[in-house]
Amino acid sequence: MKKVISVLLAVMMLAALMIPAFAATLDQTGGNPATGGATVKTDTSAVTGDGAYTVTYDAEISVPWNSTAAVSSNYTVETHLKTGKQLLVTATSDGIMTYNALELPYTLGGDTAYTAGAAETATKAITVTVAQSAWDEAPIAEYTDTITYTAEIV
Amino acid sequence: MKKIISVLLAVAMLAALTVPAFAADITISKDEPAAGPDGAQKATVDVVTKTTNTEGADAYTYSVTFPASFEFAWGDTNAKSATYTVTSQLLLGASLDVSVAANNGGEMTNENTASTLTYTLTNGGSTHFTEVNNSAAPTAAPSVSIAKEEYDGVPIAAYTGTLTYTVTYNAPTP
Repeated sequence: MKKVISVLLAVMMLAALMIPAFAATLDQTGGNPATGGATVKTDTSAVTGDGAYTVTYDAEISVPWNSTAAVSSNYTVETHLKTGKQLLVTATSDGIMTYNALELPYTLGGDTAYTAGAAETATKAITVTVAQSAWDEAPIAEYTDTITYTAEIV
Repeated sequence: MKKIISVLLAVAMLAALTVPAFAADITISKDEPAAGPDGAQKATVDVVTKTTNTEGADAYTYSVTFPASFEFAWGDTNAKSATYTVTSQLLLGASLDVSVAANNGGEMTNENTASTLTYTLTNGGSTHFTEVNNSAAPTAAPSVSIAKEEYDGVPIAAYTGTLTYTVTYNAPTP
């Protein structure tokens, strides 16, 4: 019994001597004035992958019949990526609007490719242009095509 | 020769009999001091505390304990307590002033990017503490936080900055 009590007392004494690893102390032996530093830091261990981003774009681009003016459509890129990473955004299409078997070619231009930095918000614009010659050869109808946006962390 | 030795021995014996000058003994002897009305002779002795300890060093002590580090999960905008506690036993009239400051305006850096984050320190101003304290904390607790716009404007990384705690001991004025 005495040995058990002795061991318990020893453990309690050791516990009383332990100083929490996360605390620092200044006292009268540290000079006057005494100064001590505490570190402030960010922890990225809970961040998944290389970070996050959003690309927001128009769901539809309307081209007035017989208009040869470039129709602009914006897209917005917002990145929150890890240091050293970038986001490559591209807009692609086959350049041909269709209505059944009918075709109306167009040109996709503007910012069809953009590389955003790790922490950036940017608004870019693509354009759709139909040449007069294309209008002249197409029966009037609602022609459609799909523009594909692709975002890739590089 | 015998006479010289005798004299030396007498001197040595007298030296052994001398009483140290700093031991101011008080003696009550017959008729001195005079007895009081109750017939008793009384004498008083002063009991005095010194301001130095048994090793002769200044006896005052103080300690100020504060967090060694603050860790913010990425995107965390909640304030973290940067408070401290003071335990002290000082000379009468002495005091402590404790303050917290953000180094470089709260700038946090990462060696792999030129981008910086800035944390905000609140209630870091000086707090005055008097002589005796037992884990006393400042009334307005200091805290550290990072705003959302700070996170949004920089690449994700482990940024670090420093807080400095300063303790000034004010000796009693003579």
